[in-house]
Amino acid sequence: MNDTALTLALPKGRLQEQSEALLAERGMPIEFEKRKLLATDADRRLSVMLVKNSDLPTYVHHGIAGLGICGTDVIYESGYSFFELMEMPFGSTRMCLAAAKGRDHESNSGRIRVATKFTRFAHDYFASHGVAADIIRLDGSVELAPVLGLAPYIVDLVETGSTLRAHDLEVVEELSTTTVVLIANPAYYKFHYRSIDALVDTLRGGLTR
Amino acid sequence: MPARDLRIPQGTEAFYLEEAYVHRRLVRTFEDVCDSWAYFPVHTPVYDYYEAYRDLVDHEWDSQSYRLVDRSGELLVLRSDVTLFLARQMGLVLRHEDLPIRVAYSDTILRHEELHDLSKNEFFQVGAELIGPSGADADAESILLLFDALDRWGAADVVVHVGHRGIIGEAGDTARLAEAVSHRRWDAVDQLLANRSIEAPRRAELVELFGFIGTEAELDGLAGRLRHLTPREVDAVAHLRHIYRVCSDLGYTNRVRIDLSEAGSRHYHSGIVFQAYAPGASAAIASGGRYDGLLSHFGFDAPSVGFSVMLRRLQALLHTPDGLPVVATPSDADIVTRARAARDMRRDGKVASL
Repeated sequence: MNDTALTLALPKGRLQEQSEALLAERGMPIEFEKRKLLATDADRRLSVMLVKNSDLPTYVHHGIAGLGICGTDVIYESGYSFFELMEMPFGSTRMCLAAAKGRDHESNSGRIRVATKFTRFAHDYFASHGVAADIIRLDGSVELAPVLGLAPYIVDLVETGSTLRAHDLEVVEELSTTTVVLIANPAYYKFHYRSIDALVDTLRGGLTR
Repeated sequence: MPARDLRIPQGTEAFYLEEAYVHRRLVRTFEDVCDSWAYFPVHTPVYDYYEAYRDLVDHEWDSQSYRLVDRSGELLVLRSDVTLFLARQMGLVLRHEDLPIRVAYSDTILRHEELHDLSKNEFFQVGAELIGPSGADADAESILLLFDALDRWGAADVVVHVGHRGIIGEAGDTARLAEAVSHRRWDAVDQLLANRSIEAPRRAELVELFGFIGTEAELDGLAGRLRHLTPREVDAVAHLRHIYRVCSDLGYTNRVRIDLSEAGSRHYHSGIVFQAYAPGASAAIASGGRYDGLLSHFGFDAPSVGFSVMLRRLQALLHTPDGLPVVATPSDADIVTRARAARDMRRDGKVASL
């Protein structure tokens, strides 16, 4: 790693492509060699590492990467606290409560059972809204839970709703919106604030705050 | 032979051999620095009555502290924060004729850490407190002592960011505002200020001021544009300029930054707040500030300023020798000959092993 370059973690997958596209647009193209997870931009301004989305907050929290691009949902689940430097112009979505189409919600016995990947969020949301909820953790294909009878409700991210419709589910309530943000380890930011602020200015170029 | 039990209880730490040697050298260095600054050693108790601290601590402190019940049924708390334990001890023993007094400590602390989070191994703290004087010169002394210790440790690239809790206090001293400022969440800061019916132009200036990090000259550039600060806020800015100037005059220009987002995590912070940041560290390696009302909580009204260093966090960043430079005595000689040779070598300042 270049000592003078800022360290940035990107999540593998869809957000990686959108982040790389924005970086390229702002004059910092990143190219990863095949199977490699580390790269720098041509000007060696950034040292970029590719990590699993859910692990990204851990890398930034421990200072392995000083910066990261990550969804607010993933940050919330991590329990870690970061400086959120800017909202990225992509990736925002909705965190929703969903259930089988036509389900009679009045028939709930005052306690609901919810399957979700976002257990921390779900626990805090229902507790703060006075709803008694049994939370069941799943790590994927959450929409199967109502179909297979594990739980009548799910909490999950909903973009177009096509996955829900494919399983005969519908949004019961939108619980929050999630965005994708550039985060910084607080101590890393304090030590590198000038170059990080300059990076943020570059990334914001042409963007509306 | 029974199998080894390799489990380690969460929240404990032990270190051995070279690592322990380096640690001990760092502690000694700090103690030497404090001796040379006329800071006298103090040792705080390992546990104390929980009740004494109940009104001072937040939920996080509560949830991280280990509590136990003594034989008479009193609830005790293990030392999880040296500053609080020291304040209570000073409140018990100090008299006003003792002031000013300078004290230094090196103590372990015990606090629960999440199983998945090993980044907060703050299990050994060294620190110093100046009790009695108030004002910017006393604040500067505390920061200068920290710089001296950092220099002696070989941590000359550590930068100290200094803020002032007084500006939070003037704008509405709430824990939520301090937290929002510390986390640089400007939308939340603006909203909290709006909730206190602060008009938009003053809110905008406060957000800009809270977000400031920089040098004295850069602060002057900002302060010259601000039109809606109160006299107390202007005084706080002048206070920070004075501290910066003192540090700068003593050669620390590149190692001190005025940073109004340093708002302190404890509600008993009353004046300056500072943290030290090192390249490669995932969290501040030292933190300090002024807490003029803290001792009065324990029955002795005196201002105080001080800091603590998370020594293990610092140690991980230092380039330190691997261990003792041991010189062995000839192995084919008898014990008396070897002991004599070793004695001579030790008199020459060497480390000799029999």
